[in-house]
Amino acid sequence: MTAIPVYSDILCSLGILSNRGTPEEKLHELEEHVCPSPDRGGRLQGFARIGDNLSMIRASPSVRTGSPQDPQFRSNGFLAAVGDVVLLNRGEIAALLDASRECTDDELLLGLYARFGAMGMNRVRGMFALAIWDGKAVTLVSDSIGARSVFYTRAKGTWAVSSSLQALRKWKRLHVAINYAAVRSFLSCGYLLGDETLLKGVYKLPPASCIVLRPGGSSELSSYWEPSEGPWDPTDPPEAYASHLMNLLEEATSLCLPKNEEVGVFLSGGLDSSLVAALACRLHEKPVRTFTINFGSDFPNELSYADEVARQCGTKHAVLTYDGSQVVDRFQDTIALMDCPVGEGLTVPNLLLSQAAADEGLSVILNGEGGDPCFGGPKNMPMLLFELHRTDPSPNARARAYLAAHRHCYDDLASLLNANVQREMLSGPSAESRLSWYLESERMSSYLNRLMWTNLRLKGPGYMLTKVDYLVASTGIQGRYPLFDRQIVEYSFMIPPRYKLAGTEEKWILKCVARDMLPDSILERPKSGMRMPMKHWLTGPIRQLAERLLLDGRGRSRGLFNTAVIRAWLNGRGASAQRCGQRLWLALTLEAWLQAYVD
Amino acid sequence: MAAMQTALARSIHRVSAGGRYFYTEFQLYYELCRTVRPFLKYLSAIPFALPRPIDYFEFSEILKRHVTYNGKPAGLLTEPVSWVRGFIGREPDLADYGLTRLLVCTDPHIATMLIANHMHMELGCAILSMSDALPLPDMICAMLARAADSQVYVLHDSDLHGIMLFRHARVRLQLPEPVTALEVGLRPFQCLKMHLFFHRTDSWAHDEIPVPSDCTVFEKAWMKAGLKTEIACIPPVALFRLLRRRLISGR
Repeated sequence: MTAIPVYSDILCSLGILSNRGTPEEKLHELEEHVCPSPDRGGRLQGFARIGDNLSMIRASPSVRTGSPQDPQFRSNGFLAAVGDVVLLNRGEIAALLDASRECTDDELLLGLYARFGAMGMNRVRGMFALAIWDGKAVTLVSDSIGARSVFYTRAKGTWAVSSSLQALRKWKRLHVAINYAAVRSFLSCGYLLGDETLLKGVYKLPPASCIVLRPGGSSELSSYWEPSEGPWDPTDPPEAYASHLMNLLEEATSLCLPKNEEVGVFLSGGLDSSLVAALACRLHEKPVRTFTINFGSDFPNELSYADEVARQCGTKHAVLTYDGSQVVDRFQDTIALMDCPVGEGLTVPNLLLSQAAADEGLSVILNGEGGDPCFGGPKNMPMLLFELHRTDPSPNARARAYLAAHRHCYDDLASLLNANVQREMLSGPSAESRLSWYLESERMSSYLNRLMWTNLRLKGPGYMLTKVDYLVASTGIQGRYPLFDRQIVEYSFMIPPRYKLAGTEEKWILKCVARDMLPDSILERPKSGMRMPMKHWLTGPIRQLAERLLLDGRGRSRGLFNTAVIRAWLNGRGASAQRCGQRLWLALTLEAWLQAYVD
Repeated sequence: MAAMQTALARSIHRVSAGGRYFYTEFQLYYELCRTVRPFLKYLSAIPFALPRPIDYFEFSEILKRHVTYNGKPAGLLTEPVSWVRGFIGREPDLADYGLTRLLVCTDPHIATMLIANHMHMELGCAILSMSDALPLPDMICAMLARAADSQVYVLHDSDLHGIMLFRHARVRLQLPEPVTALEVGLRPFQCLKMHLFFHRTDSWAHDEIPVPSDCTVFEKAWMKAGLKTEIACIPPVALFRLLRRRLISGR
């Protein structure tokens, strides 16, 4: 095989693995039908022939890293790869491989894979998705927590992979169709579960996974890491755990801080983002800028908490206020950026916040995602109560309760979706079966740890990381998540559950760590979370958006939703009128996504 | 009879909110009472309570006929379920955590209905029937004691027996000291506000229990007359709203 040094900074790369056609023919086919998302990169620039069966097409330098390198794949002798890689511990990896300082992150990762195989990924602290060609097959690897996405599909005897679903859906051979089982997951949870996407036959590689795609059509999926519990000694005092956790938090935050430039932090005023802001201020040599969202003084907000943290930490603090019209105006564009949508009201405000940070010249933003799944955050209580009251021993009872606990559209599916959609939803693995795999597993002896593991593996990559990553990246900034650091996640499962949920006090061990850094008001405040005033905006801009998207035009003709139910929600009527704003937002997000990716 | 069958079908649809919720037989009975008194919805501004327009025995016959021809109505719960007695106990670490709230219902069917509709998850509280709470299981006691400011809410029928149950809840449930006992209802004034149905119970039983002197004049008259409104008279959706307001918002 000819090893050709080629560009590896992926954002819109597309790999085609096929037994047919010359590389030139494959390039021609791809150039005709594939183009990167306009916001993420430029035009196709070339191809590399690696063996007889593979052509890798690269886009021009990506927006994500802003690297001005010439398009080239990285080659490691007998391996070639293209990827989206951020190594936060690149010094450690370079030393391990005895590699030159000039090596890029993706070269280092490829070198790590070449020496240690997929298990080498356990040494990485960072975010990555990598596609590797070894002359016979393409191997995809994902990072431990799912901070980066890679999608794959097979059509007409050919595998195709990409880090962009938007690029993949334009592949001529792919028949673009809606995955209704994923529609069900999305409306029930507000995000997608596991490897599913909203496109039929297109899959997303789960976190900490490796899949080998062979020309004949076979594939082999494996996992290189799952967190393990304990062992913990019941006599160990909490101080020992808090002390070690503090060291890990400082190390993880240090790794996330950019060199010689300011850093931004999305600060909600909650425990997690406040802790990250405090750590950043303690460890960074440059100023720390914090950003908070507000929807106007008429609505409940967390400004006072965010202000207090910013004051105590001494950050340059900015409060950005948005109204319903601004949110609605950017809604469809925002959803179009998200290969995997989330039904979170704060998607548009997060994008606007990212743009504000980018306008300030920042290249890295930290946030507090990871605190809840790793340290026993609030969403566990409903499931603990379910288990306490449980009388149904059937295997899916827990999964059904998990879906109902989200209080989205799970209980409304029968009335919300039209009959043909309900029939189609039954094809493919159900949301209940995906959840049961984690919720009923014997891997975690503690029920709380099992809930955390479920959230880490499903909600983390499907919701928490997704909602930040796509939006932040589209503005040219890189999002980093200290609390989702691999070693912190690993250690969190070694902490006794009663130190994570102490009585009814959630994230108790994290509060112990934060006690010297944050005001008592932050540690003792009730968890509320930033929320958009959906119900209020239902009478205004959201109503107009819903009438346009759901009750008219393409939305109506798609025949997904029962329009009578949509109208009842718009008018605040019906049994599910409570939280109708959130439910409508889910329906709107889904329709907007389908218009951007399917139509 | 046909008219009553039609009324029952309408009542099933309404009490379940179009098939969304589980409900008890008594909740269905009271919904049928509301269906045959359609003028009630036009008098919402006036506080009042009415005697039950249909005898429960008559309702049973109507329901039996419905089941014969249509099968058991979807969502109808017939038997109360006790989770405490049959606690699966597969997850031993559950008992390590705390409980901020416990709701005790004098009606075990209502407790079962609330759990079936996931209200324990939404309200963030354990739900027990009074029979399961006497005495309070050790595990529940320990979980309440682990939470700061834990509260036990009592949901009872609006009669002397129910009101006295709440008054003696602390002693009868043997609540640990820091736990607060609070009342959700029903009190007679709530029955008027929500336009519920009452019936008269055997007055001789109340001769043995003195009516509390600190009740209002209206409440004293209500109790002395042996009037009773059952929790089941509250439609499920209204009951959920009441509980959210009381347990979450504290109003």
